[in-house]
Amino acid sequence: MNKQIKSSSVNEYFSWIEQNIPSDTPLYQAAKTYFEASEADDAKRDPNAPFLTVITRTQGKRPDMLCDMLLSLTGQTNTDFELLIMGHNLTDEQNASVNELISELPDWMREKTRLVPVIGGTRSTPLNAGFEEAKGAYIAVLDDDDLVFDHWVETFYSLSKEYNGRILHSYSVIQNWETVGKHLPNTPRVAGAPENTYCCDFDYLNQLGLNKCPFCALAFPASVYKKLGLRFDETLTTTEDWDFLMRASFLTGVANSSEITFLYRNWLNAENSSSLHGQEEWKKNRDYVVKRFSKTPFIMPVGGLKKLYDEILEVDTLYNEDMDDTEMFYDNGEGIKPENLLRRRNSDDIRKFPFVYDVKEGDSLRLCGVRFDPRLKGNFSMKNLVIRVLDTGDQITDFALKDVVTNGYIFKEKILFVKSDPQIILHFPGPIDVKEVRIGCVMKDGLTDLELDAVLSGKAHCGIYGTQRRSVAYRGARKIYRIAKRILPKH
Amino acid sequence: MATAIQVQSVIYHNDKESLLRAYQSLANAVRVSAKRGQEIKLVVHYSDASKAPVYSEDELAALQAEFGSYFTFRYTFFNENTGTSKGHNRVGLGCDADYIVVMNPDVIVCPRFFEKMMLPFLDSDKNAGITEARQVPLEHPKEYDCETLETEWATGACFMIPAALYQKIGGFDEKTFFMYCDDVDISWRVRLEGKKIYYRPDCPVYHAKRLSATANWVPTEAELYYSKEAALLMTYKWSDEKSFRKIYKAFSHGDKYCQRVIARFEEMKEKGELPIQPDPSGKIARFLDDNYTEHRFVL
Repeated sequence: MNKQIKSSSVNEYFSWIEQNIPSDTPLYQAAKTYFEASEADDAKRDPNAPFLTVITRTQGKRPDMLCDMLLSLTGQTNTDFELLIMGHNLTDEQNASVNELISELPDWMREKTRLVPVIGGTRSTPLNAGFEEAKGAYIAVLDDDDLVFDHWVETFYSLSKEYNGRILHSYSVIQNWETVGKHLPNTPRVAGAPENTYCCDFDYLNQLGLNKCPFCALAFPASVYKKLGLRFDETLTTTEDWDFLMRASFLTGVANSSEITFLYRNWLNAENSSSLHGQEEWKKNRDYVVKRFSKTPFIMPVGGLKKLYDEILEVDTLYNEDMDDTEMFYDNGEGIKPENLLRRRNSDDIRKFPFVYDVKEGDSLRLCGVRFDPRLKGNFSMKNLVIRVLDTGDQITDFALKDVVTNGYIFKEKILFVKSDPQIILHFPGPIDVKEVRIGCVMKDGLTDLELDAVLSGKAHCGIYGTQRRSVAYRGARKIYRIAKRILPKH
Repeated sequence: MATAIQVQSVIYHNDKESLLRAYQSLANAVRVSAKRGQEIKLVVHYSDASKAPVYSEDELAALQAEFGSYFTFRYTFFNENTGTSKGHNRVGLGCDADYIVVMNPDVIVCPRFFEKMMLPFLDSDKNAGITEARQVPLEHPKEYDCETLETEWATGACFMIPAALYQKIGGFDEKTFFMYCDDVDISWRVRLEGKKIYYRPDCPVYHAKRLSATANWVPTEAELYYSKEAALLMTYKWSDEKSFRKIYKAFSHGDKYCQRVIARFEEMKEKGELPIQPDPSGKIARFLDDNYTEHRFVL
């Protein structure tokens, strides 16, 4: 069997068919044809083509950064690559400046480098043009301000020896950079240590939610463009990389290396894609991509269903019989009393707000606070707590963990309830004419060893005095008050 | 008139491919300088402190043929592990160039390297003693003044110094420093001469370094020992008694490298080989925890 497509969802599915479906069925024949074609495709590789085509988009606005990027390519231990600099909408002056940089490269590097002008379109347009021009068996994208370690190409090459045909993924670090200042306004300067918080092994399901693989730490088999016909979506102004990666990885799978080969420069005082495109634009593009993903037939990767099921289970702990034991008491200025109960009603948005309480129809209550008893017994955790209060004027006020006091323990943004009669008390900042109170949270049965350790060792602090840290002066004064109360005569 | 420059480096079992890329970048920098109207008469002097010569006669002839039109290539096999300080002094103290570039053997210079590095020397008001290139992909974390570009010391990965100044101060302190902190020491002695050190952020050079999986720099065994040895000797030589005592005490209870350092120090003391203290009043030297100037971050 060809290793090329192994581990992609498509490959896994055909492998399963090959092993489990009778050989005289059309489905089995389709799987067989798929594997035969993949093997033949692999044998056709052009031995004269470079291993890697590097595509660099530039708008010619930052020659100092481009100079750094070119230098870091000059330092590669594996030089089996070509470089296509995609000059996007360059003015004559910018074009001359980029050409001058190329003309100043060492001979061997200059021979590998070409400036390809691209006019019009979006950020995706130069990528499609570059993939079209590429001669390499693999294609990687470096932006004009990126930096790579000397084994960036070498790591891709080593991975390709074992996992030819898959997308190749190495790790990256993120580092804060800035420009030197008015003396050298375009010259880069490091502003912090490199951090490796950015990368993890590629996981198709995780990636569907959030792109965790910087594009420049990836190399794509040229066949995804040239044979499978995938293109960058030129209607996208951002997230074009995520969109392409997800579509390609579905077909080819991804091979990972934890070698750190790429340095993402996070500009503190200079232009980058985050600063150039507003949050709205990112969201709009993301929504568009998600919508398109959901229109595509999807084969779950092996193990994916279990993962998804586990996550659903976490939410589904809300829908067990313990739900019937929840209660919401109110404080109308006279304190919490057993008879002061809000009425529970069915939620119209059970995933977001599984618990909804209201006052009797037509009534309103001027309240100072509420107490939510999520269950009768303890031994569970609660996270993502939101208490949404709707007043008679239909004004919504949201409260969160930081606003409440509880008899549970606070640990890592969760409340850990160890004992019976768990309670969460919310004192409103001022009286509210309450119409409805909604509770959003995720509860999980049982406590982990780590959570129990946190409770026993005191790392999780008791939430009875509130989750907000009080000042030393406040705590001191409170202590003195208590002592005084104990020792002073009552009358 | 052509500016005579000697680029010198000490090889220790380096990979020939990486050395070749360094020569190619130097040849290219000469070409680009000429194109931009600055004639450079370059000598590239790589000396070899490896156990056996890195290059054969045939390979040397091939290198000279390949790069002869750009620079004179010199190669000296020491037949001795000199360390960097002694190695640089052997080829630098007698050279007749205008400037010396001290660099690591595998450093790849940018095309406009000579132009950028020489710039502060051409302005007499700057009173430049050393210029230092910016390392890529991992820039050194030490601070520099963003207005004046002055810094307190220059790393030996790649710096330029007028040959006359290098020779006047006796080059590196090869008796005290084998391979580490020799750059801080020479920088501070240059400053004792009243000269300034300039950082050149617009002059990048590629100095290959890799990060561990936790994004930390991984030092070699030799770096672990010699960095400790140099740390102790620096505090002694530059008269920071408080730091010296603190390090001495810590090393006395430290790991195997620390124990070796203490033994070496005591041996030097007994033999009267401890360095002369050039700055007893401490006007130049700065010891800030483990650093010799302020750092912007911990690498």
